[in-house]
Amino acid sequence: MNIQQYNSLQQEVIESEINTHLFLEGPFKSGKTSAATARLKHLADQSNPEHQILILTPQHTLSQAYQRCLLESDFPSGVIPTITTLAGLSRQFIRLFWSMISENSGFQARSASPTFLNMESAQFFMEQVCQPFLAKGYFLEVHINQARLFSQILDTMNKAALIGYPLEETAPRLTAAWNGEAIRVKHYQQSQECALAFRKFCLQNDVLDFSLQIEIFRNAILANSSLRQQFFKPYHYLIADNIEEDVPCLHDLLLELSDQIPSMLLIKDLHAGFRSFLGADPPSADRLRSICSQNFTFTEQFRVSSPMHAFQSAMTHCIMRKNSTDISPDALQAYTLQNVQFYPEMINSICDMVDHLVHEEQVPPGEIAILSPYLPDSLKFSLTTRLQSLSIPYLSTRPSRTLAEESVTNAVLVFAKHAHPQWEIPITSEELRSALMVLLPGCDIIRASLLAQNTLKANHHLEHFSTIPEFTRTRITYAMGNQFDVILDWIDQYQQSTQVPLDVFLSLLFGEVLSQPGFGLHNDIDNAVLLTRLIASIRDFRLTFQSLAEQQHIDSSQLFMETLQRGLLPASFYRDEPDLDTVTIAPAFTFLMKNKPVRYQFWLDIGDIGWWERLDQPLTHPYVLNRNWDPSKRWTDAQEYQANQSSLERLVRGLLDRCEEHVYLYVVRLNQAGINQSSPLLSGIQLFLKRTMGVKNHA
Amino acid sequence: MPAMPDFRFSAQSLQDYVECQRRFELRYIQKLDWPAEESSPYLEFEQFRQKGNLFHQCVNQYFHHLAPQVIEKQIEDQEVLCWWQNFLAFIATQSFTFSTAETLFQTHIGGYPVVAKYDLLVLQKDGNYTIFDWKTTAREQKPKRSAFIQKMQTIIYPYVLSQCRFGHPDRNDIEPVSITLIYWFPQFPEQPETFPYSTAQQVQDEKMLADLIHEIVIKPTGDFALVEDEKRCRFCVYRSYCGRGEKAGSMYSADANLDMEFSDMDLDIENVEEIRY
Repeated sequence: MNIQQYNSLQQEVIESEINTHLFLEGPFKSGKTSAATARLKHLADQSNPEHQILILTPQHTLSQAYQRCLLESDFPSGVIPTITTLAGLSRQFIRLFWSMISENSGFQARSASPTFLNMESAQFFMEQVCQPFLAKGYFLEVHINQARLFSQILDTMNKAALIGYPLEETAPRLTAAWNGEAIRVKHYQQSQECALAFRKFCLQNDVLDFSLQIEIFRNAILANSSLRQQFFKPYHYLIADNIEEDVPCLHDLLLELSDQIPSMLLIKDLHAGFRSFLGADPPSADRLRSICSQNFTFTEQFRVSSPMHAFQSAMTHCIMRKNSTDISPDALQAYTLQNVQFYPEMINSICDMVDHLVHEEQVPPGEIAILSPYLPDSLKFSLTTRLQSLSIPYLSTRPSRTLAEESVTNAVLVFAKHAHPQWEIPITSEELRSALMVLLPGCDIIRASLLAQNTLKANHHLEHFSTIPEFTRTRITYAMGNQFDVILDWIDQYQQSTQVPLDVFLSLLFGEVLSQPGFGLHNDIDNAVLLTRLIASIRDFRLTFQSLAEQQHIDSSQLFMETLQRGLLPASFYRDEPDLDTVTIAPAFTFLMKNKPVRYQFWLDIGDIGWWERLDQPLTHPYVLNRNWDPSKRWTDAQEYQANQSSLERLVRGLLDRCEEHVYLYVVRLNQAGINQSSPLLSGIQLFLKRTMGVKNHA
Repeated sequence: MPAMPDFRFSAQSLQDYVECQRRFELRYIQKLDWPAEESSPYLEFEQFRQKGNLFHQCVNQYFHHLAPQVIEKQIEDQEVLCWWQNFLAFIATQSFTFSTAETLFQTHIGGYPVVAKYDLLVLQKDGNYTIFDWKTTAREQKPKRSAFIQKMQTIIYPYVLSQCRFGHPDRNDIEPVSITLIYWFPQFPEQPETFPYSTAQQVQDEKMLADLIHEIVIKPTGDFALVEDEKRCRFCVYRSYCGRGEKAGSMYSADANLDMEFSDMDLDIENVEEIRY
């Protein structure tokens, strides 16, 4: 490691006494993480199995600099530092000490090991628990779909755990702050009742949703110092980065560990806290200064263009309506403002500009990001189709994707239904047609329709191609029809043997038939990826729901299919997107959490109110269910406005911090619904334009 | 091999390469997910893996100082209980001053990171290190010693440890002669396979590993050859992708050489779980 490549302040951090606690803060790109990774190598030189290194980040994407550092050839040989999150730590802790803590935590089923629920399985159980309440007319006046209803109840539970108050306090906290119609108070009570019933269910069945996982970890760590010491015994060194994006529960843990872990480096980004809707709490992170003997503040930002810096400063002033008279003329070079009448014009204009940048200016696609407040399917489809036609690689990043929407999912599940007539789940002609188009190569919509119409019989039964009149068979073609019969023959054979769970069935069907030469999935890598996720999701479901399904004498595969049909089990999956040279298409907050700057950004439809307004969440509240909230106060419109303003200011600052050359701003006169629109982001731009009139003239 | 900045070599990946270069390419370079079954009977294979995982979990808890009787309460399966009791009897005969379980170690060879995950590493009073690896098998007979001699695990595990300095940057690496690798079989507790290490072995291993890694990194994509012996393909998920058959082989057959512990290792390296709500 060449220490000379760092500035003097960085060098001071890197070479500070090992066994000390350091607090380091500064804006994005001020070299905090670079100093931290250099210090990490220094620590690794000293570490051994009894003195290991623990690295904590709020989420995986924020740990990538550390992951890369471990791979560098000058990283010292030895124990690999543990890189994890609060969620990872808590799971590891509960798995390890389950037999000790389960009884004291109120679990009743005495399972050998804990079962952790993901968002989907938690929603499934929540639905089961809530059914009696919904039948009584709970939430009748709340006009949101059930999946969102359940996710908001789960959100209140998560907030209670991450912030650290009893679950029973949720409704009183929300009620005390509520300032509107009385009916909302009733919904808060109903939501809490459901939450408590869900908690009881989890304890009875030894399953842990995220909130229970955190609560048990927090209580065990705080209450039982011997368990805490035992669990953290191997760790002598700790680095926690982006602590402003983390939750109070994590900050409490670090405070507790300060006596036990002699070497700590705690890093905070200024002007951040983007994950506040998930419980991120920058003021809570500031408490950690008290355990640090040395505080460092980095101010100099590296590789920031002067025009972008000037534009960022002017824009944030305009958004917050702060007076600013000295706008640098440089600011005008940082952006391009495009006015268009309709949405499709914007899509075309953006794609043309991306095409120009990639193919004429030779900008690597990975240096371009297309950002919007949300990424609905229609928008994603329009952008990706156009980019595809221009041969521009892209990666559409959303926090989750729904497997249920994928055509290959439907295709394989159609044949699963046929193979298991006892489920009595209907197959429609349309879904069979779509399935055939995916699974039989060269099968167009006409042939698929013919084959579907002629083979789908009553009781959801499929007949062989060979039973169709010859005239129709010729129209479909024998090559295609015979392949269809191969699938049905395989299923006939399967039905004569012992039946297996759905995940195993799909795996066999894929391996033995659909991926073989002559079928649509042969060497189809993209669909293989999707099927792998689907099968893993079904397997997880089976393993989680095994005992419940046994109790209810239901086949877990049937339970999965029925839940999927009701739209309550989206079988979402998350995956780490590879770091490829592709244009990023993402919601703005998702892009921020990748923490990776790009040269060019495109902001879609800046008149969209979504840039400013938070999601409508009638059962929860990120600012009230927060440690910084004064329970004697009521949440007013003025506070809502101020919170949205601050959030927008942080967002704009964060995005421009991560834009190295130019930002393209798009104003669409009429939105997708044909309505004229405006937003505080657009107003901010308008004020900026007004303020720069003089600058322009002068320039 | 294309530049893969986030790639680590491991006993598993190198074993894959020496058994079938194509499997290495599909699994680690293309990172191809292929959802076919690895072995049959499928549910028994899954249950066997679960048993192996439970045994590893119990041993890990033991080395985190949980009382054996508390650990034992979670074991319902008679076979695992038997393994556990064998383990307790075995470990009672061992003495060491320090131990670490389920820990990942890393070194670099020719500038490329190489990792090893030790089920248990202990330091004895005499300053010698022993690496233990717990091996469970689906078959009724213990695998032969010859099956382990050429395994990449047998080569990589002691080598990685020999490169560590453990907090003494100025001190020489750990003496190879002080390292022993022991494969211990819960089903055959009296028949461990012991592999002492030596300086000569280390020199030989380092050259072999460096040559192998060099061969891989300079190999152009598309030149990773399919294994000639198609028997191995019966236990490979890519068999339909490579046009090497339809059905998975039986886990009880003599050809099956499935290691139940390997597949989780890549996941363990990035032990990060998200707050997903």
